[in-house]
Amino acid sequence: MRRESAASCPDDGAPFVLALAEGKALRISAASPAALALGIEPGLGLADARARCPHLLCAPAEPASDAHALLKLARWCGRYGPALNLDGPDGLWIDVTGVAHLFGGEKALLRDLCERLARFGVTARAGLAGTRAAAWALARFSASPSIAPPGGQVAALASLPVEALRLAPDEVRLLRRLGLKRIGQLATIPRAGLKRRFPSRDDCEAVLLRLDQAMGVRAEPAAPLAPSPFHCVRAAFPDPLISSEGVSHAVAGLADDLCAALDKSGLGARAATLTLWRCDGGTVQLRAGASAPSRDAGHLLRLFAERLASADLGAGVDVIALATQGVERLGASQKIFLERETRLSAARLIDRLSARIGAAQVFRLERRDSHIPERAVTRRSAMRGEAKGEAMPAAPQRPLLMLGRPEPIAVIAGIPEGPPLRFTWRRLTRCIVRWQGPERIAPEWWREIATRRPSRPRDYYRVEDEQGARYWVFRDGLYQRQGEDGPPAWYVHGLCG
Amino acid sequence: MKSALSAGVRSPREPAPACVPRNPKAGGAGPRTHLIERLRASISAIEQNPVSIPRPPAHPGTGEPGPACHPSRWTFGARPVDAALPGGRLATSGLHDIRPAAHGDGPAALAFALALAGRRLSMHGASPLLFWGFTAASAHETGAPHGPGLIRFGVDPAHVLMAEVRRARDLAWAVEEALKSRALGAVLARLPDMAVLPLRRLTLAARAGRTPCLLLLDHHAAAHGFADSRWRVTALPSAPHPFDARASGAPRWKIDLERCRGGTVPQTWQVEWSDDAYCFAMVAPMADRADAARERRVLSR
Repeated sequence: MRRESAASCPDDGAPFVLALAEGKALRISAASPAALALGIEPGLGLADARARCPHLLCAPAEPASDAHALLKLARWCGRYGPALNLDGPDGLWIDVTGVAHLFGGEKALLRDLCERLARFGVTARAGLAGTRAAAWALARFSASPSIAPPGGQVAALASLPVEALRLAPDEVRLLRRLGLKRIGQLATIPRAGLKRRFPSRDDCEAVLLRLDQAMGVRAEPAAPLAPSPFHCVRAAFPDPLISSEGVSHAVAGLADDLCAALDKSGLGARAATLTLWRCDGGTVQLRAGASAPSRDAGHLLRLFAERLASADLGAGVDVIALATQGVERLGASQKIFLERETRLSAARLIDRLSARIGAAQVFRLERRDSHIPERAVTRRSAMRGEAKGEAMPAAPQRPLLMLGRPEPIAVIAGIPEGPPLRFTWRRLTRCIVRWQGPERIAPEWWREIATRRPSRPRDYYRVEDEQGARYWVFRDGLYQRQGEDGPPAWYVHGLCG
Repeated sequence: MKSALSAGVRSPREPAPACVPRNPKAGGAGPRTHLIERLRASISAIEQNPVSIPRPPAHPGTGEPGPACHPSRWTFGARPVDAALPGGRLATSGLHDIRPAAHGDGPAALAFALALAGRRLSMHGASPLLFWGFTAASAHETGAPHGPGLIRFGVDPAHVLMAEVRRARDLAWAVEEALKSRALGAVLARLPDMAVLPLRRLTLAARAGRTPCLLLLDHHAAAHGFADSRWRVTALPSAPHPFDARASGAPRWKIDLERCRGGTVPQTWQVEWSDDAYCFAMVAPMADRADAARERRVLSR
């Protein structure tokens, strides 16, 4: 399939090109049919083209936004098959194995695809064959749309030029010098003789690999844009749905179908994707995760409901698909004991909260192996399940609230190891009545080596002021070692209840 | 037989009805209140001897099962405070509004709320899970919860589900969802100044989900009528630590019960939180030693 990036073409009659700066010269990267007819082809300098056609219209090419538009188009093409990907800067492939009958056969599928693309203003060329390489060749070098029957690649490609094999320019030049202009000629001559004609064994091997890939003799693996779903249910509508209620209703039906399928195979979904194909060429994709495997249609719906209500439906939605990406084994459902009921509803709560406020914002605290207080505890997203590490230690006592970063305070303290007697934090001065400490926490030298940032030992004190408010303060550095790394500094690190 | 029942005739030897008053209309105010008293007594007797087998909770911090201590009621553990509450307990499905007396008492109010939540989680039959919601702004202002610090207040950090939310509107939504989920033992939320409507929604959600909601509000937040109880917490200087005279002992708070549905208000107590027994204890008012010594000197002259 080829797409010409002449999106803002003023009118069909005037020759129009897109130019791209290449070194110091502007070169033409795409040309409209009218320009092509005048002999202005991509790769020509813009100055040369202007000389041939003084009234040539020109616009700067934007490869980045072209690539973005192509990706958007590829997502939209997901309605024709789950496995697809971009192919170069101007093409994409779709694996329609076992899908064509849903569209009334291969011919009808290609016609539908081309018609819809033409409606969006995209000039497309399509080809369909048993191998990706053959389809590539048919789309670019044959009348569009053309279809190679199953196993009929040899016949379909025989009349196409050797350029259709995706060869390097040098290899094409060599083949042409040998008189091999058509793929059919190349496919029929004995290979042993061919090898002798090439300057090196590798060059010959590269040409034969491309030939074999096109004919389906050798496999050509390709990674799809998105991993294939485990289960997918899909609904297509003859008239587009324009109201979000209608879409919600359709999604509810799909969720029921999906959960029934999951129930049959004894699985539960951990991740689900809802895709809406809009009839104006856009797609809306919503993802939701579950912290515990689930096949409850109502729960699945609630995860999507809020975002679905605010989704941009454009000119209407004509295809909806609901797919599960991650599944886990989930035993047959039964009415269960209080304990599991509680755990299940906790998992649902986590899913709902994570779907709206973000998976990282809903968390449990987890212990980490470190003595440095701010490193000793981390946040673990609740979607990742319960923390498996050791339980947190009750001693030594720690503050209830810990500041994101220690805040410097002005202190009057005993030297060298005394507690603060009075300190000023956030413009208020507190007189210390009771104190406990110091608790010395040495820096982690192995980390210092890695980061090359030396840190100093800290002496922590738990102090209480006249009002009964309690603070966790520390002195960074020792008075004895002032000469080495400056005077020690005091900080508030936490608040105790 | 039917007519006898409706007339309320009962032989004096017949045992009192165990659970259901057979004829509520019978008798005047005297026997009726008597009956209610008796029913209250029998219900509390049932509650103090739970029939089902208690689930041993992990002792916070150590991962070992703790001693079997499952109060069946949400109490303070301090008799005078419990006596002022309706039925001697805090309502387990409603809003409890907790405010600091001044800006600096914020951590004390939080500790008080957490201590109450801890007592609720250890209750017999309650889910051991606590939901704690706060806004990113409040975490920036006064710090984020630090796991090991929760253990002192009887809350196991492994059983706390936290949510840090950017906007107050989302926090109100999250708290409401948490209350309705029925999966939690208690919900604790540090809410910025709130409009009336979300509070009303939270009350309804707490009722529907039969989950208590401990709301931490600012000290200057407007009063509202949705809470089952409203507390004001002031930090007090603590007594010296028993083993270190310079160090501070157990946290002490002055708690004012400003509003309580069905309870006696206003009330003021001074309580201390025992981090060994996870319960509140009354603080005996201190004798003014300087004053007493002066008196003694005067007497000795």
